[in-house]
Amino acid sequence: MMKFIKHSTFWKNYIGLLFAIILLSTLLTLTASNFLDTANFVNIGNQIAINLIIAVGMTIVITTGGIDLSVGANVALTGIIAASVLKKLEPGLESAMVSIFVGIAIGMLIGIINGTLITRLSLPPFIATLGMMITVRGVALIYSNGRVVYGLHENFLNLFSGFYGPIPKPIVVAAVVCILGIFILNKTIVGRYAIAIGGNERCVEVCGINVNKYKMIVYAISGSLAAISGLTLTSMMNAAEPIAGNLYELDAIAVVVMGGTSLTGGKGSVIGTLLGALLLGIVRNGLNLMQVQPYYHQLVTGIIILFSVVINSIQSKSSS
Amino acid sequence: MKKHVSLICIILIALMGVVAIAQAEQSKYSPVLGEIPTPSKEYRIGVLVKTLINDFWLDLANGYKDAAAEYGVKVDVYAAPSEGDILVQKQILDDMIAKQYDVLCVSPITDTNLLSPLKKATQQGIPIINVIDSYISPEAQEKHGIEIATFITTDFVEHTKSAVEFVAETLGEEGGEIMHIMGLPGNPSAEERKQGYLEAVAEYPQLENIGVWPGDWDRKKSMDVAADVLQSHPNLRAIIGANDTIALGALQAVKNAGKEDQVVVAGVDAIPDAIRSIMDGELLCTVAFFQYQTAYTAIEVALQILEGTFDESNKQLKLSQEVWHAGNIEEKVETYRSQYTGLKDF
Repeated sequence: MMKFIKHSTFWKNYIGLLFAIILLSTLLTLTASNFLDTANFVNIGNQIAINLIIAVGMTIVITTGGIDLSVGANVALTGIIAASVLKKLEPGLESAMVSIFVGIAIGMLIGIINGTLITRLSLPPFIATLGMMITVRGVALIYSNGRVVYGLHENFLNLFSGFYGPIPKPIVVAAVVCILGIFILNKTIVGRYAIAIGGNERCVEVCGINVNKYKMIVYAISGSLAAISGLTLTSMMNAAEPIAGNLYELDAIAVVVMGGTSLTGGKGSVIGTLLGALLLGIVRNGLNLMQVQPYYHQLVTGIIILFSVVINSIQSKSSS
Repeated sequence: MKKHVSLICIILIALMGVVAIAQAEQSKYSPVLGEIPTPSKEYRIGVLVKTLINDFWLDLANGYKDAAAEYGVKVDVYAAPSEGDILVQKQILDDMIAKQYDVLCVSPITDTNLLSPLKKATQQGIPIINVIDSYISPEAQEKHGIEIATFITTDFVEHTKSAVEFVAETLGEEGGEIMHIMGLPGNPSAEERKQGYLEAVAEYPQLENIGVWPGDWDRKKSMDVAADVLQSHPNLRAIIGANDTIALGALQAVKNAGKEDQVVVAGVDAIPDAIRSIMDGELLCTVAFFQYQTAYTAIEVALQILEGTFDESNKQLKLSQEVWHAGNIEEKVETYRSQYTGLKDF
């Protein structure tokens, strides 16, 4: 009985999003003949995977009341560096592993620098990560000389692109990251403190908890996930571009907020983020399937983002 | 410092190999101009490009410098740090005007950011050549008291037309469904290339235009769009990308769907990535539009203006372009290797 109640409140949090997803899917099933097709769902999954991986990290960051604007640039830099490392090494599984390790290390380093700026130098997260966004993009441009690194070898490509049975690997990566995110946010001490810091940072500090340490960990997680996203993107496209990941931070923030995570902190949900990403993915897929004029794409996407955020805020007001 | 050394190296290498070829190729571009006069003195020409962080503008700068060396004039090339630095570019032009060049060749980052220094240059009687992008329209010139001698550019509408033409040839009588993935909606070159696509497909009854989708110049987004369209139009035969990045993104979607044998993909710009893909038999074609030669021509026009032989009714000079495909790619790379930074690795 308890379990059932817990279950029903669980879904209640997402009723708005689920309703929007179901409504939109029904609409698309009726108007676009190819929407209800396994291949199309595989498409949507593939398309949202990159954003979702970043958004999971963003969810945890926003839960602490912070923000990470550097993730898009992070995607570009980690992709460029991993691809360059890969090109310098002999083809093989080991070199693929080395490049992935280097990529994730760079991403984590960017996160740690973000964390240091925010905790040790007390910069507001918005400014610290905005500065890092521009700096990291600059490094990516300089490192690559503005050029695309392409023609990567199979061992690397096979790790993140292609299929496991019928499921594309980017979807599998995103699913693993989601499960990891749910686990971190709900079952670990980092998650607990992230929520507490977002709720009332002063109070957590007074309790003798090292707030700075946990903030640092949270930004490092966000940086590492952006790196995984960058590696997945690089392998999907078989190319690393210095301009890749442009505005990905905003896409990630949009789906996080659509998912009911509060921008002021203290409340976060990876499942909400997943549903938000799914809704945004379906919207974009639908715009393409229904052949909507190019000029209308942004308008429709914007309205749907606003719509779902408004529903969330009405809901949270009524439940409190 | 290192950057300067490598830049100088590039220029030197280019100087050694290029001049002969440039001379040979020149005939292709000069007919519109007529004879290029020998300068009566060592003119100083001020060049302002958008930035020097990508190959396109680097190639342009090399064209200017090689032409200057060939004709015995002095060229100084200036650039903003990035394509976002519109104010910096304006300040650079202000400083350049103080240096009293004989002619200015400018490629403004936006169509408005250089208006005030250009007005100053016009007041001082310095001839201005507008090169490639962004275009200072006659209306804007009149409104802001600017006089542009001529606009030397490439025809963006023609780019996608050439691509569609080649695709139509490739598909033959049978034809089929064709789509366009455009650049960022609202961006002038994206709109012009879209217009070229629409005009060209209308001329081929065997090609059925199924529409235009936005790709925002982004590889991933273009892949997503192509994947969706392959879903809604399983019989698609051809995709025209507004540039090579878009085309390569779309190509990835075609490969993911296992439809390489059914769908051909064409791009524009002739970036190294696309050339490699054509060599590998994946991308069908790309359109090269010769930024090096454009700059070279700008110097020639400058000389004509200075010596008074320029036909002033030529308010716009559009330079030629070529479709590069599997049939000619090796030869093109060989021909243009010394002029284009991106071709050096082939």
